[in-house]
Amino acid sequence: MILINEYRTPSNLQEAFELLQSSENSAVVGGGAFLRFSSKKIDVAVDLSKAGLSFINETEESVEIGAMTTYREMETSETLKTLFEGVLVKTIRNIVGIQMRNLFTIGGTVYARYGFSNLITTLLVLDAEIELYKAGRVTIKEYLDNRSIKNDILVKVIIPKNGQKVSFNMMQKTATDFPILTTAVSNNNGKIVIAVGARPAVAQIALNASQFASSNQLTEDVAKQVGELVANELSFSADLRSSAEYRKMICSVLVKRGLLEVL
Amino acid sequence: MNIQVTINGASRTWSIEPHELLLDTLRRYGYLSVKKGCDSGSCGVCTVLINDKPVNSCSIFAAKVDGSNIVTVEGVQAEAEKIGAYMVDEGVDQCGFCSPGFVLTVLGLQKELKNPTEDDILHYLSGNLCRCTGYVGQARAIHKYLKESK
Repeated sequence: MILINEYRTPSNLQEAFELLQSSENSAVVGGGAFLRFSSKKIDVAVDLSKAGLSFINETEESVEIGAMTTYREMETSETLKTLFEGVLVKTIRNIVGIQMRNLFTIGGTVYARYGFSNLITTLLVLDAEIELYKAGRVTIKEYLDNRSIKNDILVKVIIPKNGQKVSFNMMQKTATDFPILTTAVSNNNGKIVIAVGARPAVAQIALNASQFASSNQLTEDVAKQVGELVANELSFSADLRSSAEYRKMICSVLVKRGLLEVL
Repeated sequence: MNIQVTINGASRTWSIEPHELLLDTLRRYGYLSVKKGCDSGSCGVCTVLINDKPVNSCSIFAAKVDGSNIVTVEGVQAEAEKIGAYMVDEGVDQCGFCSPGFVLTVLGLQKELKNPTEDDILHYLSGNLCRCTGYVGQARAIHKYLKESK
C-alpha cells in the first residue's frame, strides 16, 4: 500500500520543481491511477493538476500536448482526431473505460515509462520529443534509453508534423484489457520506423528491421520478412497475459499488418 | 489533511489521509451507493461524477478532488429511479451492484454527448461491467432513456 506523508498541489512549475527537490522521496502525481498501486513511501507527493499543463496546441510544425492532458481530452480533441489520420486517438480510445481515461495523463504515462503503454509505442514512431523542466528537450527514445533522467517534471510532449503515415495495432484478450503486444509503424517518404511495446517491457524501436524496411520496396512478401526480422531483433518475456513465444509470433503478424497499412 | 468539496450540492470539509483513495473517503462519510468492486479501475461500480465527468473513485486520491464538485447517486435519486425503471423494463437490472456506477456514467454521457449514436453509448459504457445481464438490454434501456429524456 502506498503511503504519502504530504500531498501538495502547486500552482506553477517552479513551485512544483522546488517541492520535488525538497525530499529524496518525493514524487510527481499525474492522474495517480497507477501510482496508487505502488508500495512506495512518498514524503512529498506533488500533484501537477493546477500547474497549467492541460492543453493541446497545434502549430504549423507540431502539436504540443501538456503533460496533464488526460487521455479523454486527447480522445475528444478535434485536432488529434484528424492529425496523423487519428492514430493517437485510435491508440488510446479503448484503454479501460472513460472513467479511467478521465484520469490517465500523457505525462504520467510517458514519464513512468510504462511497459504496457500503447501511447509510448505510437509516440516513438512519430519522432515525438518531450520537454522536461530541468533536462530540457529530449526525444522519447532518448528518454526511454536514459534512465538517469529522474526527479524532473515532464512539461509537454511535442510531436512534429512530418506528414508521415502511421499505423497502430495491438493484441489484447478483451476490448478494454491491457495489451499483450502493441506495434506502431510510420512511413515518412519511405523512411520506415517500427516500434513494439508491451513485450512486456517498454516500447522499443526495431532499428535494424526499420532500416531494412526503409531500403526495400515494400511488398507483401517484404512486409512479412520485416515482421520476422522485428520479432527476431527485439526481446520478449512472459507475464500473466502471455508467453514470450506467443508475443514473438504475433509480433511478426502485427508488424506486417502495420507495414501494409502505411504503404 | 483537510479538503473542501461540494458533494451533491452541499459544501463539506473532509479530513483525509494524504494517500487515501476517494472511494474510501466517500464510504467513510456515508456515501454507500459508491461500491467497492475490483478496486483496480476495471469494473466501474465506484463511478462518481467529478466536475461532471465520470471517474472511478477507487483510482483517484481524495486529495486530488480538493475544490471539486462531486456527485454520487445519493444526489441524483430521481434520475437514478428513472434510469432504473428503463432497465427494469428491459429485464436488465438484477443484483443491482453495478447500477449506481451505470447511472452516473449515463448522466455523464448525457452531459457530454448531445446526440449519441448506439456506438457512442456502447463506447461510453465500456468501463462499466455487469456480471448478471448481457449488455444488449442495457444499451437498449439507456438508448430509450436518452431518447425520451430529450
